[in-house]
Amino acid sequence: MSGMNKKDFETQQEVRWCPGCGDYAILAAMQKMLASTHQDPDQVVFVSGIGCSSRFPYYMNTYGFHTLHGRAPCVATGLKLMRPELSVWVITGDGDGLSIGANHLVHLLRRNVPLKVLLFNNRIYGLTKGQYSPTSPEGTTSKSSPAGSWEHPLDPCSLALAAGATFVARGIDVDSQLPAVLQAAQEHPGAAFVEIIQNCPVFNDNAFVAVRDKAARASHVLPLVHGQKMCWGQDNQQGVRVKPWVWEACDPLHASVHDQNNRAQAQMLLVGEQAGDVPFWTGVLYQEQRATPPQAPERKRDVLQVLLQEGQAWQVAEASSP
Amino acid sequence: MASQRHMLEQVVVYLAGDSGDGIQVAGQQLTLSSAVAGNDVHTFADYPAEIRAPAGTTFGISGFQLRFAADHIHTVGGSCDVLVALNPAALVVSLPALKEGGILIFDTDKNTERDWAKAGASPSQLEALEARCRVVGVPLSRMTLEAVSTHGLSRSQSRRCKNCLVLGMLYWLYDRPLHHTQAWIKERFAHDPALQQGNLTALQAGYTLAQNGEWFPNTYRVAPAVFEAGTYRSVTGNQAAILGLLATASTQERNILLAGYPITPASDLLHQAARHQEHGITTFQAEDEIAAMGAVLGAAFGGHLGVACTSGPGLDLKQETLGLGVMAELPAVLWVVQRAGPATGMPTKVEQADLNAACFGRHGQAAVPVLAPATPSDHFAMMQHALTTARERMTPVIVLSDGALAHGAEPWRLPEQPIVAVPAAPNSTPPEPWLPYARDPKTGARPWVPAGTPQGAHRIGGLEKTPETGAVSSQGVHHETMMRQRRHKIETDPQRYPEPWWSGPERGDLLVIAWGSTYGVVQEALRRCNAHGIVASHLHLRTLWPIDPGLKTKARSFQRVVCVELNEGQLCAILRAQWLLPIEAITQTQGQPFSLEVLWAALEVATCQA
Repeated sequence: MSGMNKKDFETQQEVRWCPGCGDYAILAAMQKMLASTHQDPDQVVFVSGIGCSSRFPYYMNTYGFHTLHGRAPCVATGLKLMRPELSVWVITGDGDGLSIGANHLVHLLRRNVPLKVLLFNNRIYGLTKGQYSPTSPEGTTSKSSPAGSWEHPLDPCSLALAAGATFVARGIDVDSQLPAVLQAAQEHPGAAFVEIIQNCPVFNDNAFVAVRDKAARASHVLPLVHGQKMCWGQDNQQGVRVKPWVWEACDPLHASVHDQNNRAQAQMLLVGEQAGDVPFWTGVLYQEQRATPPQAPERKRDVLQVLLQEGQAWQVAEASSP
Repeated sequence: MASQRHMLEQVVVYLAGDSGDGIQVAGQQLTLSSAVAGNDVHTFADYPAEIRAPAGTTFGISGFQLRFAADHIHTVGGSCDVLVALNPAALVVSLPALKEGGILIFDTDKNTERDWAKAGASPSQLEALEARCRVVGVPLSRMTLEAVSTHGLSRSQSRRCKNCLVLGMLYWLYDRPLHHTQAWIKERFAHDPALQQGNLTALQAGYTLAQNGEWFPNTYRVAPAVFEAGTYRSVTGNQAAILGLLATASTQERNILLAGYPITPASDLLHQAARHQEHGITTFQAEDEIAAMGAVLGAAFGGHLGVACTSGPGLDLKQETLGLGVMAELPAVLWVVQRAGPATGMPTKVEQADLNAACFGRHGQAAVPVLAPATPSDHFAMMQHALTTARERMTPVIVLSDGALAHGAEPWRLPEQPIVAVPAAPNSTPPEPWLPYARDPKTGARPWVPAGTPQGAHRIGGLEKTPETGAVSSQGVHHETMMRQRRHKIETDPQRYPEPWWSGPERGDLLVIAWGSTYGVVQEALRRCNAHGIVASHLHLRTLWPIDPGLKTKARSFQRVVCVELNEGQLCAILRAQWLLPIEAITQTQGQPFSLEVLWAALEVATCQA
């Protein structure tokens, strides 16, 4: 489809996220990316679960299915198995995808069903009005944890990598690089997992202030680019070097080259980030090529009679009838 | 030795052994050989939930009952004429099934104090039996090992040929041909010539030993029943369901999805369907019960019909997703093989207690059609009806089979017209004007415009909608209108649902209403009623929701109406609520089908009170 623009992907439906919600930026990034890559809206499907993020399909002028809490991967898997030619996106959040629906997410990634999963992580339950979520840091005070949550949070990208994801990436709602990350996911031939950092201005404002604020981002974010040195900070004055079982801060000269096909390095970066030694990274962390679900074999026709007699059929002759 | 061949009208055989003894396989072969010999047959598999319980213990006993007859039969019969017990535990568990004066074939190699102790009994019990039945003690284990000794099998492999040796004996005793089982053994063990030869030898050895030994002074013959001419095969309910799926698939351009999560006794459907990927079926083993149902809805959004198959707890887990199917109005079939519940219950035992869950198990007003096949072979048509109903009314449909039907076998004459219902293809273009929730004036169903259809992009979901446009709405009047429209499309044209089976006069003393696997036993009870001068009829429902209001008039023409079911009276309560008639429930919940004797006694009491 040529000559598409962002408007072709917008619906009549009034967008009803809260003012200032990060979801607006993600919606715009998606519409922009689909238009710029000339997608046919009738060949694109958004399947979502329940939560603020899961309203997303209503605002996309494509096919859309707003399903059940946590179950979007199930519905999307059935659809994709039967209709492999469609471009199918799963929209989920930290509650929907990592709590009630974590099981399904793991199996979708393991099976490498070529679905594109966008997990909007705002570290809070928004639609139910502010309870701590599986990604809320320890000590998060919320309506259901007035004294601060004692639970340890889960890192979405670590889970995805452990589940056998063949594409793991991260973006930030307001980052101009987000459409490029979405496009990389779209082009990946298998299952793609993208964590999108998303601000909830009502229940968890500024949870990601250090990486989301445009001025702060330059000094706090490591943008991963395949084949380029992992450098970051003002004028790229800082680097990350990954060796087997070691990561360390270094000068740009000695920084490792990002290799998105290197699983061990991806794991090291994740562990390093958790330890606080590697800055918050964005971009494509990891990608591999692996088999996707097989195509249906060629259909045999006119075999019903043969199939009905499979096993051991016998004849009763006319003679033995009354 | 010379023996006399006696003619019998019918025989009931019960095979019992450890769950690893190959009892079910032997039972299936005896069934097939009896059917091929021209008898009508009925079977019931009674097996434990444990895969390989400790050998020789009573809780690991696997049983298989077969009735073959020279006339048409509808049940597996009551007590058995011959009981094969491969160890004391099998004997202790199954003995109540043996009729007075029946034949007990017992493995004398398992007659040690230790074997009896494992069964919680003593060897003296066997001697005591001499007065009650004819005990035929045969060293089955030793004879099997000797027979197959030249084939280079390990001891455990050799032992596992014992079921074939027993089969050979039974084939001689009842004059059954060997060749069907021989053909089956050749195919089953084609990959392992030693096992193949071992089993063939054991089968032949059993036959010859029975012929030459002195265990059976008499042999028996059951004349062929009179069957309509045609091609026959033996089918279980699960087999017939998948054959029905293949029949519908043959009418469709698009593949049908069958999704399941392993669960007894429904897994068999997934296993069988998985072999037919070239015949228009795609199978998907989901990560859980919820995912299987979700995948079927996803397939439907893409324009493909789908079936999820499950049992017991799986029905509970799928309810929320069924509700989404009701709300989104997508075609889907949920095939439930009922088992005794709640929770894990008795996974391998039969019950019909999921009716309330099927009719009323979802939050909100969320009725779906509920269908139930009456016999194993009826599963063939029912699968086609279910898929067609789902498409025609754009709704999830639940089918309630049960453990007795799913694993019970009967002879089935292959229909000349195997296609009984054809679901229409989805819309190839969106209708004009394009309103995703506009309704067909006749059926009340909305259009089915699959994802990927040009110019058809639209959004659906679990939120309430504006009539016609389908736009999200939380206005009370929209909710009420849509709710009524969803109910109407289920309730309209009840005659389009699978029709009930009726037997007997239109008015009389007693009407027996039943559904599912009780069909056969009610039919036999009806014969007995008639023989006792009770004017009785049988109404067997194959559509359980919605209840056809026209049936109420029929029911009112009887003095007394009873409802027979394997639960605590669920259909009875539904009919009473719908019809305001004083229907009585005859129920049983012991994980076993009704026996004719029990049902007859209950019916007799019911009619005496009339």
